[in-house]
Amino acid sequence: MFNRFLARYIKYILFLLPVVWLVALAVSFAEAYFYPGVLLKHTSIEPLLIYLTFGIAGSFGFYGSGWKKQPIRSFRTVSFYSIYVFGLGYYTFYLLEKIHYPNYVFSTFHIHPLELGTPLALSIYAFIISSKDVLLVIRKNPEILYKWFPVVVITSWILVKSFIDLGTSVARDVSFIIKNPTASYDQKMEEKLGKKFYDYVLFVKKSTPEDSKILIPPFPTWPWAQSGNIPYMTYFLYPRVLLNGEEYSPKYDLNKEDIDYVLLTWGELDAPAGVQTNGWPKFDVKAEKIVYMLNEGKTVEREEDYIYKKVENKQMWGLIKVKK
Amino acid sequence: MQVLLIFILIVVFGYLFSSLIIKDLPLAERGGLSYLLGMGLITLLIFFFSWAGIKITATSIIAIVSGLISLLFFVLVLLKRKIEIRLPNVQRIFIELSWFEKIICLVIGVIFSLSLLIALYYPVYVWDALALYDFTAKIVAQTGYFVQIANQYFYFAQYPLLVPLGHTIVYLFGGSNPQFIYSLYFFSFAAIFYSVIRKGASRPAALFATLLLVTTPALFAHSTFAYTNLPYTAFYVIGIIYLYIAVTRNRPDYLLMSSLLVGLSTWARSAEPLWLAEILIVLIYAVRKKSIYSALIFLVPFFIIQQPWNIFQARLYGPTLSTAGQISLIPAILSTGVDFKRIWDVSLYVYRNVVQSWGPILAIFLIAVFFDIKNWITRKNLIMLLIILANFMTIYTGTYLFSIRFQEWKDIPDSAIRMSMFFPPLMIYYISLVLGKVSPKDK
Repeated sequence: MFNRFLARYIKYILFLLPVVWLVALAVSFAEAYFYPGVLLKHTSIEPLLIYLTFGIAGSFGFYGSGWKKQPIRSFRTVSFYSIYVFGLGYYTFYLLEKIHYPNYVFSTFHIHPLELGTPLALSIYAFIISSKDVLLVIRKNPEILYKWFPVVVITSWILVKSFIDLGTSVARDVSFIIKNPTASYDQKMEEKLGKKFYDYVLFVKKSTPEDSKILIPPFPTWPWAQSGNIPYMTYFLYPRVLLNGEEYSPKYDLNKEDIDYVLLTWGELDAPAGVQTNGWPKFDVKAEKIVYMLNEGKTVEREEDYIYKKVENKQMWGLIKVKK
Repeated sequence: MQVLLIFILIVVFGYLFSSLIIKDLPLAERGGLSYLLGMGLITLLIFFFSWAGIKITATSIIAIVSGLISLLFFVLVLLKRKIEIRLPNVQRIFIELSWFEKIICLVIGVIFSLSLLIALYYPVYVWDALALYDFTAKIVAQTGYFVQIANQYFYFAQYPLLVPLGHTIVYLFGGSNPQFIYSLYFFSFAAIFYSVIRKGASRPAALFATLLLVTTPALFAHSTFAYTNLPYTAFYVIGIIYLYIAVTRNRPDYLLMSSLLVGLSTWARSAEPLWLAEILIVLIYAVRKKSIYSALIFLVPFFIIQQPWNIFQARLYGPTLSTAGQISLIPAILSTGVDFKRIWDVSLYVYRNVVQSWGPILAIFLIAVFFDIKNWITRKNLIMLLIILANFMTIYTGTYLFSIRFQEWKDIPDSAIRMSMFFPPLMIYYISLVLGKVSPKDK
């Protein structure tokens, strides 16, 4: 009965298939352009039903004999190129979102980028069901279905995942390169290491003689992951000698150890809540002067001792010259 | 310009050296090997000369490289070896490619260009690269010494010198940014990888496998900054594949090349004794073949490359850092008895930080293993599978021992991920062997 029904009506279903595909595409674009759920709200039609109709109509392809006819072959070609176009569009919007900020694509193009996955999926499905020759090969060699199909699917998954991961990591770098093709060494380092930290380490380098001994924050500790790391800081401050202090005490007798400077650093990272707080040193230091680093390369010098209570919870960056 | 000149000389040295060991190689493979061998052996020799008291300067490096090139040239002429450079007609080859192949080539080309662009644009900036490698490189370039001053600096000799001396060469020859070195490692690795798969597979299959390799996010990322992991992976993976070819095709020349490459991988990173797995395979091969000669071909060059740095580190920091020192600790560590909770913890750690980092490649790898077993696994494929398993077991055992010795063993999961970066390329090769039926054909 079912087979007789198919034999009689299959050609109409197959010729209708491209039309259903176009309707499904139109719906998915509307959902992407306006907002997800727009069709349901204004027409009470669930878009999933339309996609499902396309899916069921497409599955008749397994029985179809009219695939060699021109419209269906054209349908296959169109769906093949649609995969490229929609795939590229989806990827481009995804990267734009990553390069700029979340919601960039919607605020600029009025498109919900994630919704563009639907036309891509519809096109992939359309291509698979219209590839009658592939289906026939599978029917004759069922091994393909369990041997090669998982491999093809997983390989495609790997490639898509790799392109998304690569795109994410490359997008930011390439976008910076395009915007700043002639950036200086310092600008590039600011971009990579963080402006605050890089400016600070240059300030310390400029404000201390090469033969000085400097006390830096404890390590390993979260807020001073960069400024407390001796090998890392040595890269910038060599040949100055660096020593790690403790969070609440200098660890060394500053005068006995002939320490010239103590870093005054808020910390590059936020301290873990309830465990630690930002700001170092958390002890008083008898000082000749304190040089505070302000924004835009400005500095302020004060001839006073360092009293931790005075600067507690203030985002201070500077350098304490130890009184000897 | 001077940097370009010295790198051309290094590649020429690598070219002649590889021609001395293996006669016939496709151009892509020869080119890739030339760079790997050139960088590895020249930096190793600079270290030897520095140990002998010779100052590391631009002049001494030029003298070493030129002297070695002349010597190799003389030996090659003496052995009547042809030195052929057949430049391919790239335009003709490209026209002959199918659309599928053209698209893959184009994508690979874009990925290479992006890698080089990012590496050339950004200065050295990654933490370990600054603190460990580039700092050492700059001090060596300034002073001309390494061995003589190593104990004066913190972290100066924690890692072998492949990476720092590569940077030193760039600085001494007037360069300011050595990061292009890593893009070149990436290109060389991909070129050799393509060639070894192409030995038994169709061109589209080999190109596709290479595409999978170059789109591996971790490998790409490491081609744009100065870490030891990419050079290590390149040396180690190609070394293993050559070992596989040597064992399955009975080729002593490949065995020797494998020994050099696995040895040079320890010149990039010496902390992980993963090479024990290869030694095991070579010993089994030698016993089965009843030939001590096969074992010696691998072991002698390997230890000539691997031991000097070990000895140097042991003298500087004491014997615990040396491989022998580490192995000698095993009985004491194991005397603590079997701890099932630790085994569970280590398994979980390895799964989360090593196995999961392989991503979906693992799924295809398991499918390949399934079909290999279903089709009564061939001896050739079994060898590759054994090598991969032996490496995995070495990592697992190493992590277990590390967890007993150090309380903070779980603190650096990133390091475990980076350490196991070499698995995906090996898996891709194994998948090609099984699903693509690309076992190297016996000549």
